[in-house]
Amino acid sequence: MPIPCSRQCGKKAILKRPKTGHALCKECFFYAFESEIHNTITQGKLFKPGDKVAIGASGGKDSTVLAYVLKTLNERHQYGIDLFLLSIDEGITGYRDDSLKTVQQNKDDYGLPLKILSYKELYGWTMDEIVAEIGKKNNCTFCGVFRRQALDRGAAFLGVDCIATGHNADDIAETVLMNILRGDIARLQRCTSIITAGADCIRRCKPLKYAYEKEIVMYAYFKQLVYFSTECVFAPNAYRGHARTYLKDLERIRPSSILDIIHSGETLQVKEGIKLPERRNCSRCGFVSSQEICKACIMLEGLNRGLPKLGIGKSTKVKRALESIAKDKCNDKCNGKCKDNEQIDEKDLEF
Amino acid sequence: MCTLNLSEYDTTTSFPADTIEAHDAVPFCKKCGNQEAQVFLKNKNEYCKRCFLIILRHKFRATLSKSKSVHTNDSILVAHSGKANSTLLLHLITTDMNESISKKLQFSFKVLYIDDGIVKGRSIKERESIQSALAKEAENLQLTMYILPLSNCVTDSICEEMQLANAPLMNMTSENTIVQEIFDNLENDTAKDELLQQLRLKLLVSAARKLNCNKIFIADASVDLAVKVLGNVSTGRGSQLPFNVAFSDTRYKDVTLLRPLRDFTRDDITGYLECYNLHPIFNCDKYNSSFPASIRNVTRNFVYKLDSEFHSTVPTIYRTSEKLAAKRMECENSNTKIDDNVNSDNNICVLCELTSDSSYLSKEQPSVAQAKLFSKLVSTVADTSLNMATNSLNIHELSSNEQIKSINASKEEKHQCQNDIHKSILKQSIIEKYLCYGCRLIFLNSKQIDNILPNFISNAIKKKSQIAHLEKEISDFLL
Repeated sequence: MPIPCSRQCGKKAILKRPKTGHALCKECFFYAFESEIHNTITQGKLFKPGDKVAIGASGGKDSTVLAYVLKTLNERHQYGIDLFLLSIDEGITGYRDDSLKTVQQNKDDYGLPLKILSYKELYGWTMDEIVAEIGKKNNCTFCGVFRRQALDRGAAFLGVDCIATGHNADDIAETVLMNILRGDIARLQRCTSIITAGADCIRRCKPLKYAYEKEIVMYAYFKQLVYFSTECVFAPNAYRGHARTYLKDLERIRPSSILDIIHSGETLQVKEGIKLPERRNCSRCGFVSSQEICKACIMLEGLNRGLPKLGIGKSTKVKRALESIAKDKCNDKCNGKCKDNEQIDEKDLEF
Repeated sequence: MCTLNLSEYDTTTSFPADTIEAHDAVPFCKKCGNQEAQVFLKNKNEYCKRCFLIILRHKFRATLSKSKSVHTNDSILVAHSGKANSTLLLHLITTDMNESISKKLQFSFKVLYIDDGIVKGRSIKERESIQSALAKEAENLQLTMYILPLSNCVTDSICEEMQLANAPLMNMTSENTIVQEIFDNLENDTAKDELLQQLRLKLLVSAARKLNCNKIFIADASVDLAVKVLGNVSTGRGSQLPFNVAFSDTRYKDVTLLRPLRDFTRDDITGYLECYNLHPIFNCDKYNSSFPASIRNVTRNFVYKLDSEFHSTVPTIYRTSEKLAAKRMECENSNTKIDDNVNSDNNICVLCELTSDSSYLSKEQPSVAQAKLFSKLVSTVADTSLNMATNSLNIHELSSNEQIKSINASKEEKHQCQNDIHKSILKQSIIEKYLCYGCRLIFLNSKQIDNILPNFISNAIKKKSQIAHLEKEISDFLL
């Protein structure tokens, strides 16, 4: 017996919404999915008319659907925003080169301008080269740290007002769990906020915050959107993998748990009187950082100095290495005459 | 895992290679240095039995004295589950009582076991054998132990007479069927497990009141707290974390819940039990078999697995929870009109008695609660006017309109049987109004929600909605 669409449109339902369990027909699903994102955008006041918005595009399902939906909604509801695609080329052969082709196609299909920035341009290293240096363990740390900043750099370079990223509900729930497992209270506090912005950094928003990964796939499938769906060729982050499996188990038992976890995140905050790392700007590159020198600069310094493990693992080692670097620099510059500076450096570089 | 250096314990399977190597060398105790080490902990510390037990005893006392929350003349109810944790706790306290006066802990205590065998599918015979095991334990340790069947939570007068462990099993057929029915009507294992936890807590607190205890010891060890943290977050109870895992939980004004084993690791517990050759009534496997498909069980498996692979994860999780609090929203203008006390009382969930977290979120910001409402709306209502509604972003109004409708409907019902307000059927939306986000999920999608609510909940809801009704009537005259 065919199940009727639960919006009583008279058509037969062809899918069960993973988020709510309602049976819907294709059109009603599109309607529901798009209205939800529209609602998130308007209620969260994500964009202002005239904003120049960069969509962080990887070619994967989330960013492909995000680009398509934002373009559609922008036209339908006249947000008046100027959209374009921003891609980061990490330089991973067999993964990113293929996915960038997908982004290229998105660009043609949706008529959105595209800007590609590469790690090579920004940092002088491709991920392939980095992996050749440090091996397959921990390489995700480099990639993640560099990509976050690369988006900021790219956005600053293009003069955009806002970066929209394709983080979906599953990603955010996973991040909440990860931050608890890692004890990162500062991130736990801000990872569920839909807009992250600071005084002098570019606004980021997550229009797909309440969209389930499964529904995004469904949407792409029924709209026949082309996306790239291969895992990165380098080993996936093992620890995150545990959290992901756990989340999938939870979703199977109770589909609403993804939203429930986000709800928990939304209603939590750090207790008063607990010290949080303050946000400042890296003294070298000027981008947002929690430390005097940002992680990206430290890692880059390590790579350039042939100490690729710098920035991963024990912070005491980082401190020691940086001290020696600072000393070297001092010696280079003023032949060891600046004892005072050295002490200041040591203090500043405490991690 | 930890083990004693005794051949009767199987050390081949789950122990890392280095501990086995250590067996050959037989290292010395890390603390006293002149005894052979007999207890090997996961963090590579090795102690002789004597030092190990001294350390654990100190840990327990330190937790209590550091917090300064237990005083002389306090009367404490110890919650006993029959599992390893509470078996250890009981043993720890009773051995302490036998210490010399100067070292003795200065409080009196009673023990309570809540018999939830009916919802866990235990037969009468099983329950009887559990009870006799408890009675034996009580006799060995020379303590007063009470047993309280879970069915007590549906009777209006909770535990008129507290039953000692050595009395025969109480026969409560009618209550049993009610409880059974409540649990059968719940949608899934998670809901059942969650409700059981809440009911157990309720019983525990009311028993403490009955027995004139002002404090309750709960034997949660660090790994249990880690499971609780993740379980709470996964069931939408993030804002309640500070109460549910803190050392001292002060949600009830007259009874404080304390968790004195919070710094004990899994190693500590198995080590202690092995040293004293204690056998808990329930071993872990047997306990895990109830509600296998519940979020708590999945979380437990997840945390145990992480704990065996990454040793520092469990401490990280529960230390993280210490730094968290519920988000506070600035009081909105509309609320200032009403007396603060009344208002805060209205926000207390009738089941878990914690502040309902919907009040933490401002209505302008997008939130999960609203996203959920909107999703439901958008996938059920065919109305084209919805388009307009979404444009003017008034889902909140829209959904509350629906609520108002149902409230009005129920009001009409109330008017029809004016004198008999207590018999009116509670509408789902009204029930939900008085439950917190997490507790709402328990009853969501269950069959006949109005029928299955335990008495005390429906009574509390009726009382609250009546007061809300009265408040509305006099609202014009309130300053």
